[in-house]
Amino acid sequence: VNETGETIEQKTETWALRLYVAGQTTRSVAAFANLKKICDEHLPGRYSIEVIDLLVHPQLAAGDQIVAIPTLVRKLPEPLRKIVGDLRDTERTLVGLQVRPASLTLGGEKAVHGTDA
Amino acid sequence: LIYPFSSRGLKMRSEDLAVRLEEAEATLRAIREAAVDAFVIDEGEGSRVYMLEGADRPYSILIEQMQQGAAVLGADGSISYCNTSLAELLGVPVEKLIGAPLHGYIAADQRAYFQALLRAGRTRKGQGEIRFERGNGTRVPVRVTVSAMERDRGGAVGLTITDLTTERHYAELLAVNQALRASEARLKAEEEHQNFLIGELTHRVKNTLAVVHSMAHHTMRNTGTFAEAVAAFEARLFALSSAHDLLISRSWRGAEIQALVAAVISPFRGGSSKSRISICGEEIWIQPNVAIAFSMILHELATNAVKYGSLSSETGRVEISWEVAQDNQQTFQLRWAEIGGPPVEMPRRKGFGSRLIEQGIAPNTSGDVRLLFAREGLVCTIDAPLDAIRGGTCQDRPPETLSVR
Repeated sequence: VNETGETIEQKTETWALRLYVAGQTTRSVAAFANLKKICDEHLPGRYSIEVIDLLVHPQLAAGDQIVAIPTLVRKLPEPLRKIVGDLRDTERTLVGLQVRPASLTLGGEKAVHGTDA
Repeated sequence: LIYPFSSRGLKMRSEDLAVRLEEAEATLRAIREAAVDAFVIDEGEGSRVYMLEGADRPYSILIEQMQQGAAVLGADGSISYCNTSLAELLGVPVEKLIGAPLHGYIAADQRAYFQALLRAGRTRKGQGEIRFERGNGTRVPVRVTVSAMERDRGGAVGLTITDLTTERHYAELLAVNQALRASEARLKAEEEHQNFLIGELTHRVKNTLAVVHSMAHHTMRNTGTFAEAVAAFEARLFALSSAHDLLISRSWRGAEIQALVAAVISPFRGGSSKSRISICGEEIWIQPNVAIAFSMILHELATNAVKYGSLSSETGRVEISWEVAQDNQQTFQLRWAEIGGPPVEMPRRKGFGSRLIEQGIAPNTSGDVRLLFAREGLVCTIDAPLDAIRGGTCQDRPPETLSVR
């Protein structure tokens, strides 16, 4: 684990992220802007964001079992993780994405959940 | 194969339930914090998205429907939101614009300026004009207003973009229109000037013909033989012509009195008379009509002097002088004095020349001409207000006349 809480493995991995939005609603726009900022700061040059507009492709919601919008899904590295909301809390998002271990930032309290694929 | 009720199966089931519980709790928390604004509902035949109608919904609709372009840019300049108008302006679908850097659509030579505009916009509202470059290479002039978004957007800025194409076309049309009006005004002024010149020319031709007619009529009636009449007429015509030549060379704006007197007297200064006619006076610019009248009067005086006066003898002479008296009116005074000629006698009758001398100047200048037949020599004085003599422009002057009864 390095100084930012990442494992050496994570440091070299490419993060494949998928953001589910509903057109350009306020929260969807905010989620995208917040995610971009977080990735640029913490995963510079090694992330990709795929934005899926469920207003255009509602059938794609079933695959990742999306119920609320916006929702961010970490496809890679595995296991798959989901974060619901507009990502306004950077620390909680970092923990949710497991960029930073929960114990190092929030005193062991898990703020977001993860689920195995 | 894992049996559901085996110890390993129960453990896996428990972990799965814990994950689902956490997921449900996280979703509930996001809803409570108003961090979501749409839900996906499974309706059997497929999923459907339901939007939450928040307080900002009317504003979203307003921004989506407004004619101006609107966008939110992240700290790195990438587009996190844009409305349909901006997408149409750039000729790119909204979904392609989201996430893309806006500066990619700005003319290369203006990107630095745009970046400076963005930097300034993060602290205070700013405005500037740039050119967008569409995919097909066409450029669109736009006015961009930049303002900072709220803090939780992490350095994001909001842009409103106005297409200036129509405005520019209107400005160009306005400039063309103004140029047309200016040329129209110039043409009108030129036409007016041309009409004025035509009027002026007509006036002068009519006046000249009237003067020539009067001269011919009186010369033929008052001069002895036909040959003498023709010679007198030619001489008068020559005097008139020399005055005209001088005025034409000055664009008919007037003439210097010294030059005029010299031109009229010139035919009488040949041979021994050369040094017998002296001219003395300050330079005054006189009106064309006054120049004509003076030339005729001086011609008659000179002709008379050669025939009967001081220039008819070998020793006689003539002094022509003028000055401006420093009285209230600033009276112009011209004096013709004959000296050293034969004794002068009062003429028995007045010929055309005498009448022209006495009456020729009055209609044009309110001047006064006096002839004094002193025994030692004729003296003619002309007094007139300087203002009536002195010329400015040839406009607004009284018509020229040569009225001799």
